[in-house]
Amino acid sequence: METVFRHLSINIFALRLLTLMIITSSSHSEWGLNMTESVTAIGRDIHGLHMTIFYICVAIAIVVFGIMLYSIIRHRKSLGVEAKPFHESTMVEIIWTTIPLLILVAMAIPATKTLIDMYDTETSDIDIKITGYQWKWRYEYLNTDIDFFSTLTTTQDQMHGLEAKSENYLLEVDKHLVIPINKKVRFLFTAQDVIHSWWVPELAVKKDAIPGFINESWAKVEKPGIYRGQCAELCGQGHGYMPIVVEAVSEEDYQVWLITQQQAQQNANQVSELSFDELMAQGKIGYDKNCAACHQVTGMGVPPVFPALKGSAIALGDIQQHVNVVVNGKGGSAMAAFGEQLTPTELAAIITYERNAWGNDKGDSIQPAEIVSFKQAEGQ
Amino acid sequence: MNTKSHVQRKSPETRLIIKLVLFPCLMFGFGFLLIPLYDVFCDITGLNGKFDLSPSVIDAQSLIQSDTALSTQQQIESHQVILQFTAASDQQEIWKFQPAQSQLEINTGQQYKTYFTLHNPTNAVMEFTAIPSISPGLAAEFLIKTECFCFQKQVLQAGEKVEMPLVFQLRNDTPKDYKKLTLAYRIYAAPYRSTAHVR
Amino acid sequence: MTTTSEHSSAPATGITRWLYTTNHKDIGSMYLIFSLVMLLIGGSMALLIRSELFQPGLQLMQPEFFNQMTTLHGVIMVFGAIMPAFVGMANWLIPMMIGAPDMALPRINNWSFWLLPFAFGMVLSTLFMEGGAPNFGWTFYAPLSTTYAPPSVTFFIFSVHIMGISSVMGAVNVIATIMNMRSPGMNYMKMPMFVWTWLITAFLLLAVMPVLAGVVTMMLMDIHFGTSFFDAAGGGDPVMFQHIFWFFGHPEVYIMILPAFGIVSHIIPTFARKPLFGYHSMVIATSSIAVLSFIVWAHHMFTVGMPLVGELFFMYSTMLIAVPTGVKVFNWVATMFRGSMTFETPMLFSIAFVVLFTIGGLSGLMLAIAPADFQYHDTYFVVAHFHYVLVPGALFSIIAGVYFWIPKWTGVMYNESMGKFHFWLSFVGVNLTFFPMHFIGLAGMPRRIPDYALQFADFNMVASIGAFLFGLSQLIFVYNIIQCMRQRGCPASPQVWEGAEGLEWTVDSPAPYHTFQTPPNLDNLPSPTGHH
Repeated sequence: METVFRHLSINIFALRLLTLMIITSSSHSEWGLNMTESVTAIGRDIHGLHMTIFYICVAIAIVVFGIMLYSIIRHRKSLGVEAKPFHESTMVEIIWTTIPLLILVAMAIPATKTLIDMYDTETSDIDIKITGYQWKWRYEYLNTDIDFFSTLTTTQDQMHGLEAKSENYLLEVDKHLVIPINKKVRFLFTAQDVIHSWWVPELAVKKDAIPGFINESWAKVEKPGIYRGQCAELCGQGHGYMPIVVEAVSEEDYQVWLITQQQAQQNANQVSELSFDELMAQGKIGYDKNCAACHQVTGMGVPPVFPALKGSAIALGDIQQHVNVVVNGKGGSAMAAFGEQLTPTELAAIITYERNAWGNDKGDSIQPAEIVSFKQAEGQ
Repeated sequence: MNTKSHVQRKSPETRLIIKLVLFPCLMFGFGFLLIPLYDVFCDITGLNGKFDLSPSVIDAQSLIQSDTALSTQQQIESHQVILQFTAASDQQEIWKFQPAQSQLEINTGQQYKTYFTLHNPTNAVMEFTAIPSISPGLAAEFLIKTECFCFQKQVLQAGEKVEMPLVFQLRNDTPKDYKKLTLAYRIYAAPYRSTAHVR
Repeated sequence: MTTTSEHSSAPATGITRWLYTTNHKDIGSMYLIFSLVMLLIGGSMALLIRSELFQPGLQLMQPEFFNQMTTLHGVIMVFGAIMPAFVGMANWLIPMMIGAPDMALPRINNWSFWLLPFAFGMVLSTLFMEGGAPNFGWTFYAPLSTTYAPPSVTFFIFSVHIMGISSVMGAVNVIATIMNMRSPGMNYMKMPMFVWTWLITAFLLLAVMPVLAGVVTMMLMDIHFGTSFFDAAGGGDPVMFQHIFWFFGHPEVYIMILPAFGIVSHIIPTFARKPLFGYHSMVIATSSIAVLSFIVWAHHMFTVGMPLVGELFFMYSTMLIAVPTGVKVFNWVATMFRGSMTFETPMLFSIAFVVLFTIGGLSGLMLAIAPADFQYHDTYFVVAHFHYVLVPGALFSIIAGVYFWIPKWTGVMYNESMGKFHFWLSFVGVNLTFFPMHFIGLAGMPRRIPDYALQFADFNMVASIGAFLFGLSQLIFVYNIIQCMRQRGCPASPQVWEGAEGLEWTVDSPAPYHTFQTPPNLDNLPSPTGHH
């Protein structure tokens, strides 16, 4: 039993060392073992700090575990060894207090420098205000009219295994945050409701979004590409479902995007007449994306927290009342005011869908133009 | 027999236990003391971008003093800072809480006035609380507001639209590192209750 | 004339024995059994979590319920399993180790225990309340835990208050016992290490449990009495919640590990047949850790938007606390070195503690580097770190301590082969579960999510398999304990272990119901410092 143990313990320690060696030899994040490589200078510095402290930790582990392993093998009663009763040494204590202290001081220097760099105050080229909502992000480009929500597009069917999962499962959104490369982009963070946190690993930016307060961070992306991140602070049931997609493009492409965005913003409120079938089709897509997380694809909800819409008094009752709940939300509950998050077309389609799906079959519908009038009557 | 001392003096054990029970009670109080302490600390250092929600009186005396103090070395040159304004509320489309200007280029040491618009389209009287926040947070120490709608609750009658002024300046001695600041306001709407101040 | 004792020396019979007992051994046993039950309940919740995370997709539960599981798992393990287990060991061992007949405040001791089943009954009952159990994480940040919380939050707050009172009373008891009731001749620098670590832990408890009570009271006031401690609309600040919570929270994690250090400081010398290396240094190191633990709290908040000077301060203080911790690890290794070691189950768990706790400590050092922490914070890297220090850290030390002292408590040796089997399964299981979490954290997987992107799938599957292996192997431990309690096993001698030193090993096994009713003579007792 003792020899079995000895072999096992050697093997396990060897395995551990081997694993450590594999990790150290591959800072390839493609293996899924290491931190993602960054596309910003600060991100590279952070990665460097990470590798440095990691190597220091590996070295300490090898020394300490090595001595332990040696001791386990050689200093055992079964080999007839007698214990040598030394039990203190002030000199040794001083040495193994001082050496780690010096290592830490050495480590603190580059860490301090990188932290100072992160707090850089050079004027930014672009400022984007990012607001965390339950459960999506809102992006407002300061000094422009560009203001949009970015919502997860992975379908409920994929989540429940009814459809094959897409390549960017849970990391895809309808509208990307588009920024130009080689420009300092300053991000301002706040939240609408609870604390969220905006994190894009490849940009090495993570900052908490605090309701009522504003935080900032910045990034200067060097490489065009698509960079995906997630919310990094528990914010309720949709915490895992509010990803971030940053698209870094060349300066020229960015300018083109700005113009198309401004146009799209203006067109959002333009409405046309839609047939019942068109409303239902668009309504289902909109409902699944924006409403199903709480009210469920089946419309059954999760009572009492998220009421069922199937057979509900509101979905089957006065249509103006229904519009009011969807557009203005319901105070004191988790039902948000979707009036500012969705276009009149989306709203009309979703409301029509809710009134007719799952056997509700109310038979009525609402046109986008009516949503626009409703909002205008309210002064919106 | 020491009956007298037995009655008067508690045993060392009892005294120890009294101290041990008192300590957690004091720590409980300390937890609550952390709140004003936190406020004082934030006020002094401007950490967290928190503002003193009362009007600052520009102390002419202290301004002169700082000028003379430095005239022996060098004049504090006023420098330019970009000040951005941004607004948020529960329902932007309804309250239309917006800054009149989204960005100003200002000089330190000079006073400025700007406005924020607010609209109450409902048919009820509403009261609004505005919470300011600045980034970088440490700049709060240098932004002096002499008039701000954030000092008190704002009451708007049904249908009322207002322009709320903000009078401010960045102190002379604002460090040169601060080149771009963002001042954010978040407004919270509630039905009017008579304890609120009327504009 | 001497008075006769107020009760007979034999314990009462039936349920009233356990309801009314003021005997430290009975109370210690109740705490230990309670914590074992809580471990299994909290562990089942972990298995539910790992089942959902076995593969990408939502298979078993709604995200809402998943959040309830992660929250309750944390609350139960921290407050229901680890802390009461250490209190149970304190109750059993401290009086015997210092030669005292019982704890200083035996009736408060009883009440400290009985508050806990009540508090946890309340916590578990929230699962059946409207709106469900607390779902805001065991760290319950506002406003998710105030404005946006389910109705059960009020019961959560109430139970936290009750647990806090239990802990504070227990801490008062421990300090009063240690300071007042040591045998003549046992001065502070001759106390066993377990007693030292508990003395320091008790002071930490007194200092920070009330702050926790304060912060949950503020929550209660925000929720029900219209205050705005943490609500920006009323002039409050959500970040202030985090400061106050972590002012409690950081010392709390040291509360959960210092007794572990004490236990291991008994077991390793015993099985190495050598005194603990550097007793004085160990005392100083433990005290330094306790003091420093008060000035590191904001390392849990590096991404919250603190100014540079704050981030630097907390980075430096956090790195500093690694030094005394490292000193302790070196001292244990030096105790093993040139010893004459045997590897019974308690020693296996203790050695694994030193190795795996060190790994957890090293990942903690990585987390201390503030700029790097921006990439680690709120990811599975953090989950890996704290599970390494708590599971193969604190929990392994508790398991080691149970194996070590159960022959003294029950008079029966546990089954050694079963113990070793339990060890190896746990060792493999714990590493399979938590080591891959370092990788997925670095690769970008956030915490507290019920479903994840495809690149995290493989390691999540490994972790889930490891979790089941680890979880189910604890049943072997439970069985072994039950056999001892039922007196099925070889009778144990008073000494039990060849190298064991300390007053508890001078009494019979099982220890008599009342021990050291007269203070023992310490002349023949070896000093834990190794000096004679």
